[in-house]
Amino acid sequence: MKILTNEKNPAVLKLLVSASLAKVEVTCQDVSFGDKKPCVAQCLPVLQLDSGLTIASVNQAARFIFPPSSSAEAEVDQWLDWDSSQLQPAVVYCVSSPGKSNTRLQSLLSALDVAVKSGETLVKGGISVADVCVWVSLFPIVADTKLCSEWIGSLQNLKTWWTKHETNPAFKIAVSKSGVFAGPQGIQTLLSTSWNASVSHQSSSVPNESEGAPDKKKKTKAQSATKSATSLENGLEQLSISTGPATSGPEWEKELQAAKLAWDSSQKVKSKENVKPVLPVSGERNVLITSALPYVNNVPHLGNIIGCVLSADVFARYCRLRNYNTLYISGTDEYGTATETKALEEGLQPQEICDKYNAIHNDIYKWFNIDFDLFGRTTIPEQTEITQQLFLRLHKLGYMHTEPMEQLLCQRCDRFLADRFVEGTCPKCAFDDARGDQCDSCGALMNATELIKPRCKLCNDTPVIRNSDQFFLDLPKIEPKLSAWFDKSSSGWSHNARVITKAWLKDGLRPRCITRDLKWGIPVPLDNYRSKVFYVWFDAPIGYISMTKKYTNKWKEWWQPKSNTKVEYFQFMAKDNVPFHSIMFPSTLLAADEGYTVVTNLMATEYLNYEDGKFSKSRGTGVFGNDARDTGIPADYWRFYLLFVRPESQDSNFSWDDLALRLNNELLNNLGNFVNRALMFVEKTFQSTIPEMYLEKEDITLLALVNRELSAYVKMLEAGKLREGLRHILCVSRHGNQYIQSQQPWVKAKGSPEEKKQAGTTVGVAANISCLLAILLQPYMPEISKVMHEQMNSPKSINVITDSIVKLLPAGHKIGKPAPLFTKIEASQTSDLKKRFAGKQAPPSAAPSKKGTSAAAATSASSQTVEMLQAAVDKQANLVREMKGSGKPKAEWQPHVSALLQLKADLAAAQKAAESQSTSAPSTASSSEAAQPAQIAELEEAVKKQGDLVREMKASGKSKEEWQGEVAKLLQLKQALAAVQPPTTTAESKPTQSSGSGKSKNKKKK
Amino acid sequence: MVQCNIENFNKICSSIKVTKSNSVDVKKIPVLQHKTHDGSVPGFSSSLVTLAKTNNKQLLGNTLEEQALVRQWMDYAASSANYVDVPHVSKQILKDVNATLADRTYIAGNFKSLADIVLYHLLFKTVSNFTFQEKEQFVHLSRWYNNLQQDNNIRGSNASVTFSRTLLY
Repeated sequence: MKILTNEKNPAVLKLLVSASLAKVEVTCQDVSFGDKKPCVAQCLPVLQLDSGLTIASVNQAARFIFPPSSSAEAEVDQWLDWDSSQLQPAVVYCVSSPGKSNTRLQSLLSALDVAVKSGETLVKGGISVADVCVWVSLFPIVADTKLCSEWIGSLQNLKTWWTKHETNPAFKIAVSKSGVFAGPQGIQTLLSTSWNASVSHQSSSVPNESEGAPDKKKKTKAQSATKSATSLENGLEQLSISTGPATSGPEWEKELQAAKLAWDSSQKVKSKENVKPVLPVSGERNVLITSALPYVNNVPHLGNIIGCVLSADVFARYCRLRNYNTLYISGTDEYGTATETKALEEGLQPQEICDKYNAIHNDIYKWFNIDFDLFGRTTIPEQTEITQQLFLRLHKLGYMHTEPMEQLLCQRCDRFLADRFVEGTCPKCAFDDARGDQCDSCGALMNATELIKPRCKLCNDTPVIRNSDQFFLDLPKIEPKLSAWFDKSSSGWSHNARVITKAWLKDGLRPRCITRDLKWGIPVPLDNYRSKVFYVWFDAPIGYISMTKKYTNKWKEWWQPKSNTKVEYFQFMAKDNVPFHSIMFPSTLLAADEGYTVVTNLMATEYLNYEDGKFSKSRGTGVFGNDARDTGIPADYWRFYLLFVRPESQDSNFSWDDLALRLNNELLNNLGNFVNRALMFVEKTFQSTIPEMYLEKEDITLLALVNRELSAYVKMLEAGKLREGLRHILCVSRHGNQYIQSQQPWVKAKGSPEEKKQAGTTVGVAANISCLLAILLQPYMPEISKVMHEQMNSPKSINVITDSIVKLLPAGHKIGKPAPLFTKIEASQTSDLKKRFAGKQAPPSAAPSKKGTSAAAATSASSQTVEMLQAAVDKQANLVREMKGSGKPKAEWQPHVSALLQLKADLAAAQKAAESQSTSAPSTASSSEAAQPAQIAELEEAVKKQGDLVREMKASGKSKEEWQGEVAKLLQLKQALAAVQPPTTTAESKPTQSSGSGKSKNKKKK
Repeated sequence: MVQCNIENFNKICSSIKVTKSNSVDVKKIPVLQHKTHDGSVPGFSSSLVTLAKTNNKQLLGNTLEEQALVRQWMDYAASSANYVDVPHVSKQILKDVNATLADRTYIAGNFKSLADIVLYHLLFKTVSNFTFQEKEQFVHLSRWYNNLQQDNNIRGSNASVTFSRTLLY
C-alpha cells in the first residue's frame, strides 16, 4: 500500500500511525497536485491499494489499514464519523479564523473530555483507529503550545488521554519521522487538500456562524479542484453560440444602429466578373495561393487533402467571394527517386507513372470540388527552364559551391539511394525506423549518411558510402537576409509554422545539398555535372512559379510584381513541409534578388489521425481520396467534416461516429433545418414571394447578432482559421433557429393584420439570412451552396461577402422550389464504413478489381440471408400451426408467434436490402401475406388481454415498477399488430382495447 | 440547510427497509448526544452503516476493498454532500460526484451500495431543481440519478425527476 500526500500534511499521521499499530507495510510519497490523477476531488493524502484502487477519505483509509474488531466496530464507526464530520471541520475552522470566539469547537472538546474520563481509549477493548483519528485531528491544536493553552487548557481528561498516546511509540515515531506541521501551518496544509475540511470549512459561513467568514486566500484548494471540471465546461462551450460582448450598453446600441443602417442601404458591392487569366491589379488586394504539391507516386489520403489542397481551396473561394484578385495554383510533384522506384515496381517509365497518377490526383480533386485555377505538374518544360535559370543565377552570385559528398550506394540494387530510400536508426532520438531525410519520431532533418545502421528500403542490404561532388546552397550566406525577412513578415503565419522556422533559425543554417546522382529529375545545366539532377525539394516549390507560367504568359505580374502592386502570397501545407517553404524556397528567391514574391502567410496544419491511428502515405494506412468517393457520401459532406475537424492548432482525429454526429446535428438539424424552415414558409405562406419587411427590435437584434458572427467569420478566414470560420456559420443558423422559434411566424400568419405583417418580416429576414448562409457556406460546401442559391433563385451578383448583412433578397423576389438540403447519415452506414476501412488498404492498382468482387460478394451474401430467413419463417409458421392445432394452451404457443413475427420482419428487411442491391432478386411478399388474417386475429386477442392486465394492475394500486414491464409488452404487441394490419383496421383496434375487463391468466414474466 | 437531517435519515431507513425500532443506540457515545452546530443528525453515516449491516449487508460491498469504498462515500456524504444546498459549495460537490460517475455505474463501482441510496436522497432537492443545462452539464450524475430513481424502494415518496436527452437547439 502506498500513501500519496502533500508535504507535511498532518492528516497523513492517521495513516502512518494506523499502519504502525496494525503492523502493515506502507510507503509514503510526496506528490503535488500536478502529479496526481484526481481521484474524487483533488484531495490529499490518499491511500493507494495494491490493486490500484484509491481511497480518498483519510479516516476510512485508516480504518482499512487498521480495522476494528467486530465487537467494537459500531462504536468505532461512530467515532470516525464524528471525527470527520464534526471535529475536524471545527478544528480547521477555528484555527484558520483566529480571534473569533467560538463555541462550536469548545462544546465538541468538552464532550470529548467527558468521553475519555472513564478509560484510556475511546472504545473499550484497547486502542483503535478511533483513537488514532481523533488524536491526529487534535494534533494541530495540542502540539502547538499557544493553541493548546487556548483550547485544551482546562480539559484535564483530554490532556491525559492525548499525552498517553503521544508517548506510544507508534505515534511518536510517526510524528518525528513525518515531521508534519502543527498549529496554523498544519491546518494550512490540511486545508489545501482534504475534501472534508475545505468543503465544510467553506460551508461554515452559513447562518449561525456567519461572523467568521473564511479568508478568501485559503480557498486555493477549491480553485485547484475545479480545474479538472473546467475542461468539461470548455467542451460544452465549444458548440454553444459565441455571445461575444454583452448585448446591452452603448456599444450594443451602436451595433444595432449599424445593423439597421447596413440593412436599409441598398447593396453597393457586387460580385466581380470572372476574367481569365486572373492578374494582380495595382491598388486592389491580390492574393496568390498555393498548396503544397502532393507527391505523385500515390493516391492522396484524407489527411493530405485537408492539409493542403482543400484548405487552400476554401481560402481561395473565400478570397474570390471577397472580390480579391485570386490565383490558386497547385499540381503534382513528379521528380525524384520515389517515382523512379514506383516505375520499376509497376514496370513503367517514370513519365508514364506520372501521367497515370497525375490523372488519379486530378480526378480526386475534381470530385472534391477543388477549384484550382490551374492544377499542373512539375514535369513541364517551364519547370526545367525556370529551375535552371534560378540555379545559374545563384551560381553566378556565389551562393553555390561544390563539395564531395558521401552518398549511400546500394550495391545490390546498383544505384545511389535517395534519402527516402534509406532507413535506419535516428542519430538524435534513436528511433529505429527513421527515414533518410527526416525522423518520423522526433522530426529532425538529417542527411542519410548520418543514420546509424542504414539499410536500403528496397532490398534491406546495407549500403556503402561513395564520394561524389554535389552542389550546395550556401544557406549561411543567405541567413541574415532570411532572418530579417522572417522577422518582418511572419506575423500572419500559423503558429506552428512560426515555431518550426524559429527553431531552424535558432539552430543556425548549414549549407544544403541540392543535387543528386539520379536520372529522373531536372539536369544540372553545367558541364561535368550534367549527369546529376536537382534534389526534389529544390525544384518542387519552383513548380509554383512554372505552373503559373503555364497558366499565363504574364506570370511575372504575380511572381515579380511591379513596385506599385502588392501581392499577398498564402501557402497551405501540413507541418512537415514547413522548413522547405519557410527556409529553402525563400532562401532561393531572396538570394536571386530579382524581386520575387515570397510567402507572406504560411498556413500549416497539424496532422489528421484516422480513428486514433496514423495516416501515412509511405506506410499505406488510412482512407484515400478514391475511397471517399466510393462511400456514397457526397463530396460536400466530406468537405464539411474534414474542415470541421481541421487540425488547426493541434492534431485532430477522423472518426466515423463523429462524422455521423456532426453531419446529423450540425448540418441536418441546425443549418439544414433553418434554411428549409425559412424557405418553406416563404413558399407555403407567402406564395414563394419574399414579403415586405418592417424591422422591429427583435429583427434588428437578430441582424446585429448575425453581424457579430459574420465579422468573426471574416476575421477567422482572413487569418486562415478555417475551422473556426465554419463554427461561426453554424452559429448564424443557430441564431436563426432561435429567432424563428421565438417569433412563431406560423401563429402570427393566422392572426391580425399587424401580426401578419410581423410574420412576413420574420419570414423575409429568415430567408435573407438563409441567403447569407448560402454565400458564407460556399467556400466550404460549394455544391450545397449552389443548391441553396437555386432554391432561393438568388441573383448571381449578390455572391459576395460583405462586412455586415444587407438585404440580399428584397421584397417581391420570387424564390425557387425549396427542398431538404441534407439527408441523415445512419449509424449503420457509418459502422459498415468503419469496418470496411478498418482493414489494410489494398494497393491502389488492385483497388478496382477488389471493389468489383466485394460488391458482388455483398449481393450474393444478402440473397443468401433472404433464403435462410425464408426457410426459417416457413419452419416457424408450421410449428405455430401445429401447436395451435394440437390444442395446447395459449401461453405455450404465444412466444413462438412472436418469434415468427420477428423472423418475418427480418425477412422483409433483408428482402428490401437485397432488392436495392440487385433488382433481379425474387419477390416473396405474397407468401407472407397469406398468413395474415389469422395472425391479426391472434394479435388482437393478445393485445386485448395484455391491455386488461395492465389496467387491472394499475387499478389495484400496484407500484409502477411492477406494471411497467407489462406496459412495455402491451406496446410491443400493439406494434406487431400495427405492422401486420392493413391501415384501415387500425381504427378498430381502439374499441377492442377499451372493452370489458377480465382477469388474465397471462401472468408470466420474463 | 443541511441534508444529513432527520427527514432524509428516515427516508433512507425506509429505502433500505429498516424501521425505527431497530435503529442504533447512540447513547453509548457521549459526543453523539450533543446537538450538532448545524442541525445535522449526529452519527448520520455511521448509524446508517450499522443499520445496513444488520439488515441489508450486501449494500456495504462484498470484499474489503468494496467496503472501504462504500464507507469512503458515506464519509463524503456526511462531510461534504451534507452541504450540497449551500450555494458556493454546491457546484463543487456536483462536479465531484459527476466526475466520479464518469467511468462507473454506481458511486463505489459497479454495484449498488448504501452510498448510492444515501447520496440519492441528499442530492434529491438539488437535482429536482436542475435546469435542462445542468442536467446536460452533469450528464453522468443525471444518468446515475435517473437509474436509481427507477427503483421504487429507493425513490420512496420522492417525486420522479424527468430527464430528457434531446439536444439543445
